[in-house]
Amino acid sequence: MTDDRPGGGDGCHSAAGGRSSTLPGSIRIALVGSPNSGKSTLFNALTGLRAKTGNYPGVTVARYEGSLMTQGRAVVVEDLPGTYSLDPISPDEQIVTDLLDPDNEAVVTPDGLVVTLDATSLRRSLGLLSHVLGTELPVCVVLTFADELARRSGSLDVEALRRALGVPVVSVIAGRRSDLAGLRDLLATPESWDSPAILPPTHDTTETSAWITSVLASSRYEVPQVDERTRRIDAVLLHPVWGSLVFFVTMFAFFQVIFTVAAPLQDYVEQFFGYLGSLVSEHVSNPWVGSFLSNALLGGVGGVLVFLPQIALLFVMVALLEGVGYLSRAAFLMDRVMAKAGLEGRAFVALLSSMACAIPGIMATRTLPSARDRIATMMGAPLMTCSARLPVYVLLIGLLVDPGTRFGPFGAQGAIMFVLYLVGAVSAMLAAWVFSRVGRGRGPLLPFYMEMPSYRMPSARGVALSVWEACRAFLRKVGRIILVTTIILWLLLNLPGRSLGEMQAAGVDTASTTAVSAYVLDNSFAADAGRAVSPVFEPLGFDWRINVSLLASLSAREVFVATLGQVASAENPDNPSDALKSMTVAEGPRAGQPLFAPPVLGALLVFFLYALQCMSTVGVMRRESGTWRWPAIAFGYMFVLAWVMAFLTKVVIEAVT
Amino acid sequence: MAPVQANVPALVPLHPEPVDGDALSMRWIVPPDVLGFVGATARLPDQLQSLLDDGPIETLMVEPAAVVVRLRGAFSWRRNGAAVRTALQAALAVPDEWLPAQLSTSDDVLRMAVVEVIDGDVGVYVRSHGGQIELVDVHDGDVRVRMNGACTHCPASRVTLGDRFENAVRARYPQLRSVTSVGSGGSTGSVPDAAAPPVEGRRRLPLVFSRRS
Repeated sequence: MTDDRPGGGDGCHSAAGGRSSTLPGSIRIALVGSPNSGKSTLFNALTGLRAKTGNYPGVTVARYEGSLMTQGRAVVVEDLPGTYSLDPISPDEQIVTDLLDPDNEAVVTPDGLVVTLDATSLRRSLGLLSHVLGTELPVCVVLTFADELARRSGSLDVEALRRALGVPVVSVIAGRRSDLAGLRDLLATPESWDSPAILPPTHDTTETSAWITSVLASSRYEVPQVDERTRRIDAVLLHPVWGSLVFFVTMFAFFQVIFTVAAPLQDYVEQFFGYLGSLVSEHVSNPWVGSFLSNALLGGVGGVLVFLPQIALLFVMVALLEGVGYLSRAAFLMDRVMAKAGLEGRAFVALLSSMACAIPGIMATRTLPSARDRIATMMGAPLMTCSARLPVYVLLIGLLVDPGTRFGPFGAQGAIMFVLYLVGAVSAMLAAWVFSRVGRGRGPLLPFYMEMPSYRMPSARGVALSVWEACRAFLRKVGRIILVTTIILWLLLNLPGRSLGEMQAAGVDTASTTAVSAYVLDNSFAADAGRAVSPVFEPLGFDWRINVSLLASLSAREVFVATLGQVASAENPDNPSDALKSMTVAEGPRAGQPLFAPPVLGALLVFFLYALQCMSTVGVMRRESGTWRWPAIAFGYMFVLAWVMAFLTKVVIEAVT
Repeated sequence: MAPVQANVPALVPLHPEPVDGDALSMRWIVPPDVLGFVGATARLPDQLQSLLDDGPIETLMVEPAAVVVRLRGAFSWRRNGAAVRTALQAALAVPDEWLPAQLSTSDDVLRMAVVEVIDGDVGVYVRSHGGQIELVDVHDGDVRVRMNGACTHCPASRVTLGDRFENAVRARYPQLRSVTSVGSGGSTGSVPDAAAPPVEGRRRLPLVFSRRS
């Protein structure tokens, strides 16, 4: 759900694809298993890394490597994307097939394979195992979710399973250290693993299924029962009407919470930056350093950082919903809606991942078997409301309505946010649907499995980890791309320098620092750039300051907030948020009127809803589609859509108010 | 994987397990109630018989829930396993065409099943606790055993027999009616737990080997 794989936050996926350098003489072990069979959990437990785990397919869409030392030997463990068979139907399954093919020269064949079998759905997992055994590479089976099997009154004789399969079988319950020790020892010597004397039948499905039936019977496998409580809750939550209702009410409540709970926290952060600002004005005398510190760092970067509480809250909520087991139900519910439109469940999972960030969402399209569906989903994913839009929305909604405004019993701010998310999601699905219609007629929908985990209490550690990772990714993004762009913007906003004589000639009161900085700002390179594009944005009611912020936000959406923050704190260093509220249109026919009037704010919100203001997304689209064509199309159509929808919004709001 | 063909009857479930210490022998685990006899065979369905007459198979023995096949020295399971499996699977689909070398009754099958269990995992477990299970007799689906050694006065022997022994025998012989322990002092005591009273002559037990298709 979160974008937080290594490097995921800023769009460079360091662990994807290529092979990292490995120690000579080390043992290579690959983890193979069906999606959601606990591979990533096992990988993390073995290597101490933290690949994101999740309970729907497609969480691991690239290859990850980690290493461990056991019995004096270095073992490199590779986590492969989940796959249901070795007859690949999608690019991520192709990765697995290529790796296991000893004749494939392009990749190093592993020395041993660890196959994770989900004990709660053993019949299906054994089908994959029969294929993996067919590669004749050393295989060791790790049985996962045995605790879940027992809890749901299923049973299995592990020793009998080992005898029936003819390969080592180790039961590892997630995160249990003692289970791992035995497995670690095994990993050191893949060459000595038992191998079956006769390979299971793979060429005939009826023979394969007879083999599976026999192995299961011999292992005294009792299929787990559906938990009674889970079944009753699901009767409501998976109901097309009640389930959808619950889903929307949950989401609505969530956005109410974002505004009511996060706002006080945000105040604390703002007060802290205000305190820092007073320190700067007290102790820094050099005007350039002072301007840099108070405008660029505190006004700009600090202006983005104040949204950390909202980001954290968003991920607390998502982690809770996921941990309880609700999120996969929501995915299941939405999948049925999407299937009616001819889009498959994998597409929805990709779109759902985009709620954190479009980048992992676009990478999750690798699970889609059809190239056309993959492109279609990619074209829709950036419209899902990602966490980068959150600061922009919170800022603009704050300018639009007072926190106290209510629609009936509900806070207006939260309601508007809910609508924005809803419109984003609907637009994303519509866009994916439209693009999937363009081109050839569609093929059959391929099978898509989604496990419904039993409801359970989310682990505090899991939630904390997920939130921490999200906050860290946000801070990293602030510290890198947002900081760099903000510094460049600060330079552009303050250059060229103006001489005193010139300003006096222009009638500026050079005794007032505010007047001076306003003059510099108004005649800066940035202002020139903002004015240059104003013919495009004039119909939307944007002035040069909004234009510059929009241009700057192409690097990352949060920069919009940072740039407006800079401008505001340059104009009124003592109270930038008041300056923002009272900003007036600088020039043109509307000069002197409030800049952030409802029509303009509405247009801005809608513009951000649709525009592809994120170069990282464009880059990932280029990589995933293999051509510049699709990112160009996406950027173009989203810009046009954003402009048109923003214009319509402005016209409508002007008409009603 | 070939697409699933409609209307093809499911094959007899089957998988191989190696025989300890004999690489040429393979124990093919089959459902317990397919053949209805144990021991050597006089006649097999044609395809399998031809593998025995002039093919890789040296001997073939039927057990209560397995067929043990031994290959001739020049052959190996890695190379010839798939062909044997296909022939065996086809042959198990027509159990009427299997003729035993000697007539065996269902009690013979049950007796062999009990002996297998005593020699196998369950016996090993009981012996590891200083006990011993001895088969007294088998009659019409009823088994009588004697618990010796440490088992004699062990309160857990009820559980040992009730669960492990009986389940293991039933896995090999689903028609099993009852297991009764004959006390070492000569008095008889019924082991099966009182909580599961006989239902129409047969006790209902948590079947472990229940078959799902």
